[in-house]
Amino acid sequence: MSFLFPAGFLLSALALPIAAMYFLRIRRRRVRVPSLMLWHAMQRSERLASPFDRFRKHLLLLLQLLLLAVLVLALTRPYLQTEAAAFRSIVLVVDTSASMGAVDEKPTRLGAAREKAAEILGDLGPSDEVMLIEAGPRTEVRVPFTRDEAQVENALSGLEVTEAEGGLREGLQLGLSLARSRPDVEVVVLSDGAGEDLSSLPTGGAKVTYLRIGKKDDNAGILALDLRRSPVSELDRQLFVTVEHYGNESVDATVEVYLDDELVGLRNERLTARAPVSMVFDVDGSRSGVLRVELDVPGDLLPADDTAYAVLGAVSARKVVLVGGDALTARVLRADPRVDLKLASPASATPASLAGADAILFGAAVPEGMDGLNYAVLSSKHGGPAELGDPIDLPRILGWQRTHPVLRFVDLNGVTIARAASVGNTAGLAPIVDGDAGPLILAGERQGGRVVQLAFDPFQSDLPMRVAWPVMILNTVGWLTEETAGASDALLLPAGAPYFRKITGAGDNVTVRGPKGDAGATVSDGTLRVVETDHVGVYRVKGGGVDVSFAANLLSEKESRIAPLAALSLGEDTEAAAQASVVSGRRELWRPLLAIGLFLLLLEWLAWNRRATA
Amino acid sequence: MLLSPELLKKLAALTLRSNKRGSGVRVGERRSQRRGQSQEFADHRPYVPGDDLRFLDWHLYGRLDTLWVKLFEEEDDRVVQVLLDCSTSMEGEKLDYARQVAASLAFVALGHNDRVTVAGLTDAVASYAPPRRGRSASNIVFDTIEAVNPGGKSDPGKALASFPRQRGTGIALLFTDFLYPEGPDAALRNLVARGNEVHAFHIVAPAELRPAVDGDLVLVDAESGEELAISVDEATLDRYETTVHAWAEEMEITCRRLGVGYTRVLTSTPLEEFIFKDLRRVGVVGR
Repeated sequence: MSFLFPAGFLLSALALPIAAMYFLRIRRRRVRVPSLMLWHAMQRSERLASPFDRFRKHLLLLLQLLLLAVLVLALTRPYLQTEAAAFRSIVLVVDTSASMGAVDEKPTRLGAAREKAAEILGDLGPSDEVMLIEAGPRTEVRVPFTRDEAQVENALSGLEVTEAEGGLREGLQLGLSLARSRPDVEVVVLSDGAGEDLSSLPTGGAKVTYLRIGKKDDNAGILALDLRRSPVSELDRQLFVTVEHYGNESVDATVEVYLDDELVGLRNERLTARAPVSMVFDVDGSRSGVLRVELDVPGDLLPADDTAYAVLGAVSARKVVLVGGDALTARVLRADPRVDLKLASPASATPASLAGADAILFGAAVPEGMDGLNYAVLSSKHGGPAELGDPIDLPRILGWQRTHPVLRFVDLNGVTIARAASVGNTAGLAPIVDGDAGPLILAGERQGGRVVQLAFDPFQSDLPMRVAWPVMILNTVGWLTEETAGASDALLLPAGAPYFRKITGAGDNVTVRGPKGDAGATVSDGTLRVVETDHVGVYRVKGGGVDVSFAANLLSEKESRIAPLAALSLGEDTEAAAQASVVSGRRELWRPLLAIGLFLLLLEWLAWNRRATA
Repeated sequence: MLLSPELLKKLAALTLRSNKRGSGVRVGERRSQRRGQSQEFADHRPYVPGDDLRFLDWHLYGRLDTLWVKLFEEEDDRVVQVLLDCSTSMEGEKLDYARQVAASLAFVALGHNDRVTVAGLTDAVASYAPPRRGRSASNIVFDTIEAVNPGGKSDPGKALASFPRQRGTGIALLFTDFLYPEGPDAALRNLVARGNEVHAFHIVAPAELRPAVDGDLVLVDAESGEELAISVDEATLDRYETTVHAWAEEMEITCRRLGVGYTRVLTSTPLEEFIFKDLRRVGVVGR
């Protein structure tokens, strides 16, 4: 044992005045007694009594001297030197992903991580530095390198467990890169490992200590959720749910589906270990509201993955505007009962007048400012976002993406095109039909809207004469409106992922109400961004011309598999085995000494009180 | 008024019992060791010239033709010495109680024609009243007892050395707390050596058994002024109580060893209960 402040031992001299004051106490009460004869006799017998009685007589003094000794010892700041260097820098990486909300540690794994972090802080010397990094859905340096333990403690208590997939890898990567600025840095990871693959992460020689949080693996969770149109009826929906149990034994599970708190589906399943079970629930398409799926498994340790949400919008016809355009296309569109077609003249077609449409098909020139809207340019004559150049005669079709929704069931074999335009800048669109001289059809997303652009005039080809044309037109409308017509209302977002949406109105009065109250939203360039989607639930965006809800769900195998990792496998073939605590360093003893001192003070008070009231 | 008229009326029925015959100088109510001229026949002895012819037993002469003189028991009075320890340690309830018991027993003695003398003892004879006889003297005796004031050190052994010898023997009643630094031996031996039947009354105040004190104290000896710094707690008081009981038993043993009667009384004991029950039980008084 060594001492940081050995001069404190000088204060032991205080024992003299304490003893002097004890024996020279002048405030003794004078009491007249008939004779001292018997008191003397008692004292003589007392001297013959056991030495313990004499010790008891001076118990107060003994306790006071003991208390002084303990306080003096605490003041000298004794410590036990272990294997660490005299000066240390520690980077604390605390995992706040959903799996840290498991309740196998009390109160949660994050709570246990906080306690371990506090222990580490308690062991730090005055010249040691510490940094705190939160590795949640977003990686954040909560406290840069500091010697102020209180600041780190405050930040620790401010950490909250999220219901989103975590980025331990990013957190550790950040910690390791920041660690390079200091020599002798120790990166301490407080996590359950959460199934992260860290093998490609170079440690750069820094020491990584993995403090494993968590004990058990009994957890079942909802792994997948989707809401689709029913194959039987255009107007009905089907809810697909996949659940899995990650414990070692089979369990009985109940899956309940509520639509606005009304039970609309119930399934009891026996879940065997690590075997996903999928189930389908039929949902009446005429209704709208919030679908809530609840998984109930006894002894489940992680609540975040036991509930999932989907927003169900009523099925409605898709508003499609055909600007200009030919009679054939108009007829194809009218033939689809799901399409509510409006014809517009090229003169009246402005971005403002077209904003309410789910999809716009241009058979005329595309006006400026169409960003964020879903539209298709049906001829190279009408412009479009991709830059078109010199004409190409008789281009041959080399291939097309058969899996692209626009080209589903479309056969372009043998299509003859008389003339096409060469494509310069594709403006972010991807070619889905390639010709021998460049792309012939492009499709893609641009600033929140979907765009399909033809690089040739179909009426200079035999395409409209083929079955492929109406199929492609209806596919195009289907793809363009996929997000906004009916099914798009069921937008499912992974918790923690940002939500973007184009808005048309002013952005100042947009509010986003999430499951835990207001979720911050920012609007810039006409795009709304919601970043704080860390909790599972329904978020409602209101204002700025929109009133839409979306659901955020965990749906993460990585988080639902809560068994803590025995070791973190890091790059360069290093491995950080799980440890119970950070063993290196200097362990100061003043805190336990102070606790002993307080206990002695209590004893002294009790002894005094007992004597005073006896 | 030391004693109430009701108590005096009850006391009149009591006698002071003694295990010895007295040897007073006057014809009292009790039998003397000397043969005398009382009415009670004791024995005969042969006539020698000079004997009072009035005591010749003429009936015996008629039958035996020998001259015999009749001897009679001489009825004798006793000296009852009431000795009150009036050292400072007796101050307060102990001396008050002692005065009342002493007055009661003195009244009983006077009622049977005993001579009663009263003395207050410290380390000297603080006060002294010569022997008096008869009920008529009871007021004077009571006044004397009442006038015994506390003050001075305890050493009755030394005091009795200068105490006037009484003619004849009798009963010595010693009222004391036995708190003598020198011990009780000297005093008791002195009284016994004078041929007295001695009875000691050990007066104890309840507060002496377990004083109502605690904490850090300086105890001051009421007689010597000596001081003792002491820390008193429950354990100390327990030990003190044990010491007091052991010492009181030691006093009793000392008294019994010297042939002295010993009666311990707490001042909280009602006076009548002590006299009419306790003292009758131990045979100090009777009817």
